[in-house]
Amino acid sequence: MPKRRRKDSSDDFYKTKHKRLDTIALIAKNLAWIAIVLGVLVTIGEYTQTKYYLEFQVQSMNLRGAYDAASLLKEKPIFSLSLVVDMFNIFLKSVIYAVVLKGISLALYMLIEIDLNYSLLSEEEGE
Amino acid sequence: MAKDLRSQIYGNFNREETEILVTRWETNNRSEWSDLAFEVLEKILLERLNELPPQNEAIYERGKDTEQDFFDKVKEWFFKNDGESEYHPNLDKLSGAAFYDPQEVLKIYDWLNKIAKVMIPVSILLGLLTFPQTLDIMQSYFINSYQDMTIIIWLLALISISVAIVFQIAITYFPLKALAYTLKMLMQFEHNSRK
Repeated sequence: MPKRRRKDSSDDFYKTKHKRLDTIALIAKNLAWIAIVLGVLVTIGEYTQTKYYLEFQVQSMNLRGAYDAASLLKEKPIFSLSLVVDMFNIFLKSVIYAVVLKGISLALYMLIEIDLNYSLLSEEEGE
Repeated sequence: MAKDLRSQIYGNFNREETEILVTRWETNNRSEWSDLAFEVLEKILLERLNELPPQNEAIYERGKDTEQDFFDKVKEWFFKNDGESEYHPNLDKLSGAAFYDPQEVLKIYDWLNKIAKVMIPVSILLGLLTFPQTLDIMQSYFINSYQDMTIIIWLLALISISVAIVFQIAITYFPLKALAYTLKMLMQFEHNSRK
Protein backbone atom coordinates (compact mmCIF):
# COMPACT_ATOMS: atom_id res chain seq x y z
CA MET A 1 0.00 0.00 0.00
CA PRO A 2 1.62 3.27 -1.04
CA LYS A 3 1.94 6.13 1.40
CA ARG A 4 -0.55 8.86 0.64
CA ARG A 5 0.68 12.12 -0.66
CA ARG A 6 0.66 15.28 1.37
CA LYS A 7 -1.36 17.54 -0.86
CA ASP A 8 -2.11 20.17 1.73
CA SER A 9 1.29 20.40 3.29
CA SER A 10 3.19 23.59 2.62
CA ASP A 11 6.69 22.21 3.15
CA ASP A 12 9.37 21.60 0.54
CA PHE A 13 7.62 18.45 -0.57
CA TYR A 14 4.78 20.29 -2.27
CA LYS A 15 6.81 22.86 -4.15
CA THR A 16 5.98 26.04 -6.05
CA LYS A 17 6.15 24.18 -9.35
CA HIS A 18 3.44 21.83 -8.13
CA LYS A 19 1.31 24.75 -6.98
CA ARG A 20 1.63 26.40 -10.37
CA LEU A 21 0.73 23.23 -12.20
CA ASP A 22 -2.14 22.70 -9.78
CA THR A 23 -3.45 26.20 -10.57
CA ILE A 24 -3.21 25.62 -14.33
CA ALA A 25 -5.00 22.27 -13.94
CA LEU A 26 -7.72 23.95 -11.88
CA ILE A 27 -8.15 26.68 -14.50
CA ALA A 28 -8.39 24.08 -17.29
CA LYS A 29 -10.95 22.12 -15.26
CA ASN A 30 -13.14 25.20 -14.76
CA LEU A 31 -12.71 26.33 -18.36
CA ALA A 32 -14.14 22.97 -19.41
CA TRP A 33 -17.47 23.88 -17.80
CA ILE A 34 -17.34 27.38 -19.28
CA ALA A 35 -16.79 25.81 -22.74
CA ILE A 36 -19.93 23.69 -22.31
CA VAL A 37 -22.04 26.66 -21.15
CA LEU A 38 -20.73 28.85 -24.00
CA GLY A 39 -21.37 26.03 -26.46
CA VAL A 40 -25.00 25.77 -25.38
CA LEU A 41 -25.41 29.56 -25.54
CA VAL A 42 -23.84 29.82 -29.00
CA THR A 43 -25.98 26.91 -30.26
CA ILE A 44 -29.12 28.67 -29.01
CA GLY A 45 -27.82 31.90 -30.57
CA GLU A 46 -27.33 30.13 -33.90
CA TYR A 47 -30.89 28.82 -33.71
CA THR A 48 -32.29 32.28 -32.91
CA GLN A 49 -30.25 33.91 -35.67
CA THR A 50 -31.47 31.32 -38.18
CA LYS A 51 -35.06 31.84 -37.04
CA TYR A 52 -34.81 35.60 -37.63
CA TYR A 53 -33.12 35.01 -40.97
CA LEU A 54 -35.92 32.68 -42.03
CA GLU A 55 -38.59 35.11 -40.88
CA PHE A 56 -36.89 37.85 -42.88
CA GLN A 57 -36.73 35.60 -45.95
CA VAL A 58 -40.40 34.68 -45.57
CA GLN A 59 -41.39 38.35 -45.24
CA SER A 60 -39.42 39.35 -48.31
CA MET A 61 -40.87 36.49 -50.41
CA ASN A 62 -44.39 36.57 -49.03
CA LEU A 63 -46.05 38.74 -51.59
CA ARG A 64 -49.22 36.66 -51.65
CA GLY A 65 -48.93 34.84 -48.36
CA ALA A 66 -47.69 31.71 -50.11
CA TYR A 67 -44.65 31.09 -47.89
CA ASP A 68 -44.01 30.28 -44.29
CA ALA A 69 -40.78 29.18 -42.61
CA ALA A 70 -41.69 25.48 -42.76
CA SER A 71 -42.44 25.51 -46.49
CA LEU A 72 -39.25 27.45 -47.11
CA LEU A 73 -37.25 24.79 -45.25
CA LYS A 74 -39.04 22.02 -47.18
CA GLU A 75 -38.16 23.72 -50.44
CA LYS A 76 -34.48 23.83 -49.52
CA PRO A 77 -33.60 20.50 -47.87
CA ILE A 78 -29.84 21.02 -48.24
CA PHE A 79 -30.13 24.38 -46.53
CA SER A 80 -32.21 22.83 -43.71
CA LEU A 81 -29.72 20.01 -43.30
CA SER A 82 -26.80 22.44 -43.18
CA LEU A 83 -28.57 24.41 -40.44
CA VAL A 84 -29.00 21.31 -38.31
CA VAL A 85 -25.43 20.13 -38.96
CA ASP A 86 -24.04 23.61 -38.21
CA MET A 87 -25.84 23.74 -34.87
CA PHE A 88 -24.75 20.22 -33.99
CA ASN A 89 -21.19 21.05 -35.02
CA ILE A 90 -21.10 24.12 -32.77
CA PHE A 91 -22.31 22.08 -29.82
CA LEU A 92 -19.94 19.21 -30.62
CA LYS A 93 -17.00 21.63 -30.76
CA SER A 94 -17.85 22.91 -27.30
CA VAL A 95 -18.02 19.32 -26.04
CA ILE A 96 -14.62 18.64 -27.62
CA TYR A 97 -13.13 21.75 -25.97
CA ALA A 98 -14.62 20.71 -22.64
CA VAL A 99 -13.39 17.12 -22.80
CA VAL A 100 -9.93 18.13 -24.03
CA LEU A 101 -9.60 20.76 -21.27
CA LYS A 102 -10.74 18.23 -18.69
CA GLY A 103 -8.24 15.74 -20.10
CA ILE A 104 -5.43 18.30 -19.92
CA SER A 105 -6.41 19.12 -16.36
CA LEU A 106 -6.31 15.43 -15.37
CA ALA A 107 -3.00 14.95 -17.18
CA LEU A 108 -1.47 17.83 -15.20
CA TYR A 109 -2.79 16.43 -11.92
CA MET A 110 -1.29 13.06 -12.80
CA LEU A 111 2.06 14.70 -13.57
CA ILE A 112 2.04 16.35 -10.15
CA GLU A 113 1.19 13.02 -8.58
CA ILE A 114 4.00 11.24 -10.46
CA ASP A 115 6.53 13.88 -9.46
CA LEU A 116 5.45 13.70 -5.83
CA ASN A 117 5.61 9.90 -5.89
CA TYR A 118 9.19 10.01 -7.11
CA SER A 119 10.10 12.70 -4.57
CA LEU A 120 8.61 10.49 -1.86
CA LEU A 121 10.56 7.49 -3.09
CA SER A 122 13.86 9.38 -3.24
CA GLU A 123 13.23 10.82 0.25
CA GLU A 124 12.63 7.34 1.63
CA GLU A 125 15.70 5.97 -0.11
CA GLY A 126 17.74 8.82 1.44
CA GLU A 127 16.53 7.92 4.93
CA MET B 1 10.91 -7.69 -56.94
CA ALA B 2 8.76 -10.80 -56.44
CA LYS B 3 11.53 -12.19 -54.24
CA ASP B 4 11.45 -9.02 -52.13
CA LEU B 5 7.68 -9.24 -51.86
CA ARG B 6 7.88 -12.92 -50.97
CA SER B 7 10.43 -12.28 -48.24
CA GLN B 8 8.35 -9.36 -46.96
CA ILE B 9 5.22 -11.52 -46.77
CA TYR B 10 7.28 -14.29 -45.21
CA GLY B 11 8.58 -11.90 -42.56
CA ASN B 12 5.08 -10.60 -41.78
CA PHE B 13 3.47 -14.05 -41.62
CA ASN B 14 6.32 -15.52 -39.66
CA ARG B 15 5.69 -13.08 -36.84
CA GLU B 16 2.12 -14.35 -36.42
CA GLU B 17 1.02 -17.26 -34.27
CA THR B 18 0.55 -20.67 -35.87
CA GLU B 19 -3.12 -20.78 -34.87
CA ILE B 20 -3.87 -17.60 -36.84
CA LEU B 21 -1.96 -18.88 -39.85
CA VAL B 22 -3.82 -22.21 -39.76
CA THR B 23 -7.19 -20.38 -39.66
CA ARG B 24 -6.08 -18.28 -42.63
CA TRP B 25 -5.00 -21.40 -44.49
CA GLU B 26 -8.26 -23.22 -43.74
CA THR B 27 -10.47 -20.25 -44.70
CA ASN B 28 -8.63 -20.11 -48.05
CA ASN B 29 -9.94 -16.66 -48.92
CA ARG B 30 -8.23 -15.87 -52.22
CA SER B 31 -10.06 -12.56 -52.57
CA GLU B 32 -8.34 -11.35 -49.42
CA TRP B 33 -4.91 -12.96 -49.88
CA SER B 34 -2.94 -13.41 -53.08
CA ASP B 35 -1.65 -16.73 -54.47
CA LEU B 36 1.84 -15.67 -53.50
CA ALA B 37 0.67 -15.12 -49.91
CA PHE B 38 -0.76 -18.65 -49.88
CA GLU B 39 2.49 -20.06 -51.26
CA VAL B 40 4.40 -18.38 -48.43
CA LEU B 41 1.76 -19.51 -45.93
CA GLU B 42 2.15 -23.10 -47.14
CA LYS B 43 5.91 -22.92 -46.68
CA ILE B 44 5.66 -21.53 -43.12
CA LEU B 45 3.03 -24.08 -42.08
CA LEU B 46 5.14 -26.91 -43.43
CA GLU B 47 8.13 -25.58 -41.52
CA ARG B 48 6.16 -25.33 -38.30
CA LEU B 49 3.79 -28.31 -38.49
CA ASN B 50 5.58 -30.60 -40.97
CA GLU B 51 2.19 -31.15 -42.61
CA LEU B 52 -0.53 -29.01 -44.11
CA PRO B 53 -3.93 -28.73 -42.44
CA PRO B 54 -7.02 -29.37 -44.65
CA GLN B 55 -8.25 -26.39 -46.63
CA ASN B 56 -11.79 -25.20 -47.45
CA GLU B 57 -12.83 -24.51 -50.99
CA ALA B 58 -11.21 -21.32 -52.24
CA ILE B 59 -13.22 -18.09 -52.00
CA TYR B 60 -12.55 -15.91 -55.04
CA GLU B 61 -15.31 -13.31 -54.77
CA ARG B 62 -16.27 -10.98 -52.02
CA GLY B 63 -19.63 -12.42 -51.11
CA LYS B 64 -22.36 -11.04 -48.92
CA ASP B 65 -20.70 -12.62 -45.92
CA THR B 66 -17.59 -10.53 -46.44
CA GLU B 67 -19.70 -7.39 -46.83
CA GLN B 68 -21.58 -8.32 -43.71
CA ASP B 69 -18.26 -8.80 -41.95
CA PHE B 70 -17.18 -5.36 -43.06
CA PHE B 71 -20.34 -3.69 -41.75
CA ASP B 72 -20.15 -5.73 -38.56
CA LYS B 73 -16.56 -4.62 -38.13
CA VAL B 74 -17.48 -0.97 -38.72
CA LYS B 75 -20.41 -1.27 -36.31
CA GLU B 76 -18.23 -2.93 -33.72
CA TRP B 77 -15.49 -0.32 -34.15
CA PHE B 78 -18.04 2.47 -33.82
CA PHE B 79 -20.01 1.23 -30.86
CA LYS B 80 -17.62 -0.93 -28.92
CA ASN B 81 -16.44 0.28 -25.61
CA ASP B 82 -12.81 0.94 -26.36
CA GLY B 83 -11.77 -1.76 -24.00
CA GLU B 84 -9.65 -1.76 -20.92
CA SER B 85 -11.87 0.95 -19.48
CA GLU B 86 -12.62 -1.36 -16.62
CA TYR B 87 -11.18 0.03 -13.47
CA HIS B 88 -8.11 -1.88 -12.45
CA PRO B 89 -8.85 -3.63 -9.12
CA ASN B 90 -5.59 -2.39 -7.62
CA LEU B 91 -6.49 1.19 -8.42
CA ASP B 92 -9.38 1.62 -6.06
CA LYS B 93 -9.99 4.86 -4.29
CA LEU B 94 -8.37 3.80 -1.03
CA SER B 95 -5.00 3.15 -2.57
CA GLY B 96 -5.60 5.69 -5.30
CA ALA B 97 -4.25 9.09 -6.09
CA ALA B 98 -4.63 12.27 -4.07
CA PHE B 99 -4.86 14.67 -6.98
CA TYR B 100 -7.17 12.92 -9.40
CA ASP B 101 -9.85 10.30 -9.60
CA PRO B 102 -8.78 7.38 -11.84
CA GLN B 103 -12.42 6.68 -12.65
CA GLU B 104 -12.66 10.18 -14.05
CA VAL B 105 -9.62 9.53 -16.23
CA LEU B 106 -11.25 6.42 -17.65
CA LYS B 107 -14.48 8.34 -18.24
CA ILE B 108 -12.61 11.07 -20.15
CA TYR B 109 -10.71 8.36 -22.04
CA ASP B 110 -14.02 6.86 -23.18
CA TRP B 111 -15.42 10.28 -24.08
CA LEU B 112 -12.36 11.18 -26.14
CA ASN B 113 -12.63 7.92 -28.07
CA LYS B 114 -16.34 8.38 -28.69
CA ILE B 115 -15.99 12.01 -29.79
CA ALA B 116 -13.12 11.06 -32.11
CA LYS B 117 -15.45 8.58 -33.81
CA VAL B 118 -18.43 10.96 -33.96
CA MET B 119 -16.22 13.58 -35.61
CA ILE B 120 -15.73 11.33 -38.66
CA PRO B 121 -19.34 11.36 -40.00
CA VAL B 122 -19.77 14.99 -38.89
CA SER B 123 -16.65 16.03 -40.82
CA ILE B 124 -17.82 14.12 -43.90
CA LEU B 125 -21.27 15.72 -43.72
CA LEU B 126 -19.85 19.21 -43.20
CA GLY B 127 -17.44 18.70 -46.08
CA LEU B 128 -20.17 17.51 -48.42
CA LEU B 129 -22.38 20.46 -47.50
CA THR B 130 -19.67 22.86 -48.63
CA PHE B 131 -19.61 21.21 -52.06
CA PRO B 132 -21.67 23.97 -53.82
CA GLN B 133 -19.27 26.68 -52.57
CA THR B 134 -16.25 24.59 -53.61
CA LEU B 135 -17.79 24.11 -57.04
CA ASP B 136 -18.28 27.89 -57.34
CA ILE B 137 -14.63 28.44 -56.40
CA MET B 138 -13.48 25.92 -59.00
CA GLN B 139 -15.70 27.53 -61.64
CA SER B 140 -14.15 30.89 -60.85
CA TYR B 141 -10.73 29.48 -61.84
CA PHE B 142 -12.08 28.65 -65.29
CA ILE B 143 -14.37 31.64 -65.66
CA ASN B 144 -13.83 31.99 -69.42
CA SER B 145 -14.32 28.37 -70.34
CA TYR B 146 -16.22 26.70 -67.51
CA GLN B 147 -18.98 25.43 -69.79
CA ASP B 148 -16.47 23.32 -71.75
CA MET B 149 -14.76 22.03 -68.64
CA THR B 150 -17.70 20.99 -66.48
CA ILE B 151 -16.37 17.48 -65.83
CA ILE B 152 -12.90 18.71 -64.92
CA ILE B 153 -14.37 21.35 -62.61
CA TRP B 154 -16.57 18.75 -60.89
CA LEU B 155 -13.63 16.40 -60.58
CA LEU B 156 -11.42 19.11 -59.08
CA ALA B 157 -14.17 20.10 -56.67
CA LEU B 158 -14.64 16.47 -55.61
CA ILE B 159 -10.91 15.97 -55.11
CA SER B 160 -10.53 19.15 -53.06
CA ILE B 161 -13.57 18.28 -50.93
CA SER B 162 -12.19 14.78 -50.31
CA VAL B 163 -8.77 16.13 -49.33
CA ALA B 164 -10.41 18.72 -47.05
CA ILE B 165 -12.53 16.01 -45.39
CA VAL B 166 -9.52 13.75 -44.86
CA PHE B 167 -7.54 16.61 -43.29
CA GLN B 168 -10.50 17.64 -41.15
CA ILE B 169 -10.84 14.09 -39.86
CA ALA B 170 -7.09 13.76 -39.30
CA ILE B 171 -6.71 16.98 -37.33
CA THR B 172 -9.51 16.05 -34.97
CA TYR B 173 -9.37 12.24 -34.79
CA PHE B 174 -5.67 11.73 -34.14
CA PRO B 175 -5.14 14.43 -31.46
CA LEU B 176 -8.21 13.20 -29.57
CA LYS B 177 -7.02 9.59 -29.76
CA ALA B 178 -3.51 10.68 -28.77
CA LEU B 179 -4.81 12.56 -25.74
CA ALA B 180 -6.92 9.54 -24.74
CA TYR B 181 -3.95 7.17 -24.84
CA THR B 182 -1.66 9.74 -23.18
CA LEU B 183 -4.08 9.98 -20.26
CA LYS B 184 -4.19 6.24 -19.90
CA MET B 185 -0.42 5.91 -20.10
CA LEU B 186 0.05 8.69 -17.55
CA MET B 187 -2.32 6.90 -15.18
CA GLN B 188 -0.37 3.69 -15.59
CA PHE B 189 2.87 5.62 -15.17
CA GLU B 190 1.55 7.23 -12.01
CA HIS B 191 0.49 3.86 -10.65
CA ASN B 192 3.94 2.42 -11.38
CA SER B 193 5.62 5.37 -9.68
CA ARG B 194 4.06 4.40 -6.37
CA LYS B 195 6.14 2.45 -3.97
